[in-house]
Amino acid sequence: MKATIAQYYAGDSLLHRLDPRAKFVAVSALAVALFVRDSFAGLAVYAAAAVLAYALSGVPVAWFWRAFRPLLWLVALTFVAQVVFAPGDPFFSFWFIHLSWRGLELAAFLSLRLVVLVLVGSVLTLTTPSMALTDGLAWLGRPLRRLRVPTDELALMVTIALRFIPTLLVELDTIMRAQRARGADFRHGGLGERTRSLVPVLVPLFVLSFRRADELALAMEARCYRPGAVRTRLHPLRAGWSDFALLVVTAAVIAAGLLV
Amino acid sequence: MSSSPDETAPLFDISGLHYRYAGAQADALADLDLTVHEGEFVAVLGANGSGKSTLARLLGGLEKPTAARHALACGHDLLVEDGRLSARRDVGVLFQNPENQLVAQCVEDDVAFGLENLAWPAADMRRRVDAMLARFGLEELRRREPHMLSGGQKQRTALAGVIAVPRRVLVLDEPTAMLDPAGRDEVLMAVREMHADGLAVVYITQEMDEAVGADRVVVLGGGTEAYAGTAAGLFADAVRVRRLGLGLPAAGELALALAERGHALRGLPLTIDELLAALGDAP
Repeated sequence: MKATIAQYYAGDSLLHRLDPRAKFVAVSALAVALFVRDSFAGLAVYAAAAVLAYALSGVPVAWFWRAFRPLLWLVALTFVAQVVFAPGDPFFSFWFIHLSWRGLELAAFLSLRLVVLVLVGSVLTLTTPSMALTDGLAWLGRPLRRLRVPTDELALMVTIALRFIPTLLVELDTIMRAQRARGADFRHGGLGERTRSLVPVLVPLFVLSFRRADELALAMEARCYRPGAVRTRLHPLRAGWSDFALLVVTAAVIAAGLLV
Repeated sequence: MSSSPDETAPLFDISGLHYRYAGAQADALADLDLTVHEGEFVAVLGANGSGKSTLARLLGGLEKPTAARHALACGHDLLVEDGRLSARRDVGVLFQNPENQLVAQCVEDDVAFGLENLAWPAADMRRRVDAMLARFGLEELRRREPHMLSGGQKQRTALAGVIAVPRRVLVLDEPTAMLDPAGRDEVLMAVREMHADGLAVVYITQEMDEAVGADRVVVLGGGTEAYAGTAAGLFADAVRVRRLGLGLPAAGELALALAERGHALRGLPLTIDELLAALGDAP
């Protein structure tokens, strides 16, 4: 159960130091631009920007590759589906497969776009700790408070959920081993059987989680937590000139990609 | 009435306290009196189900007493909502399971959690958190994620987080019960240091050895006070100790075993040092 998404890489690069809000806005805007622009020239501009950003992050390529490798299947699937089903004059036909230059071109474009999209998103998650990211999102969601959406509370919930994932994985492992010691079999049998064998694992996991939640809530209250009260942060979000510069550069890149 | 803490008044001034869980047939705590003064170290002992953890939650202002003649924590009235909320600032409560007390994704953010809730300015918070990390030997671990910590480190982080908010008294609910011997020593050492610095401590435990150094021992039995006095006074009556569902400190058990084999020692040693001294005296 190692990293399946590009996990935060502790570092001190320029990108690490940028405000999570600026990074989130820049990445979202670039992602939208990627979807809007459908030419290889535009894609090339965004790909170059993404590669440059990745290089600036100082994250070893192996770190990204480990997270990206499982996604290769998705890229391959996108490619094959496009090649097979895309319209165009076929230069090769067999049964339901019709290969056309137009189809190949489209498949290449869509798969490359997916790769660039993953790269752009990864630059954000690789250089931003999840807590900073949730804080940033809570800030960006602030207008929703007017609609009585408890954004700060939701952000804290997400932080706590992320904090407890490793704890729950350890717990899951313990329960599964306990059940295996009593003769449970999670590896064999049909899908139905294997799903049923998970019930005696999930029930205790839920029960334990609820008890954890109770105790955690008590410990939070003991440390003066009150939902809705004004809180300050040890690491307040601070946007500076470099964050402004990031937004300007991103806007320029987007414009360049749209105009080429 | 609920506020204005008085420096000379007891930290806990509780009389005739009752607590009954919703739907329960009997009181979990019944007619309990407890007074704790500035600078005291009070150990609370009791068998499982004697109401120890309930007491910790009530003292911390985390639960509403069902009834009480009076229940004051640091001058705050625990019978009213506002009083309980104020009590949560002055009374620190550390629970048994360190895992279920850590909220944040790294040590220093967790230590800051209480201060964040009280809306401390970031600069003051930074200084306070750094001081706490230094005090509890956590500086090297400040960016460490909770699941990468040992049990003792987790509980020290939780303790630092409780104490980061300036407290007048600390209530600990079996803080070493889930730790290995090394972790237990780490936490005990930290608690003793804080007490030496003048902080009053209410130490709830099942470990007889941990109660020995206390200024005063209170034993809960069936939700009420079954004994109050010194540790030596409690352990001197072995029959009562058994009846209360307790045991003797390791040194005391050993001395009794020796006595049964005809090697009676003078007095009942409660610590290893006392045992060694008594053995030195023996013929």
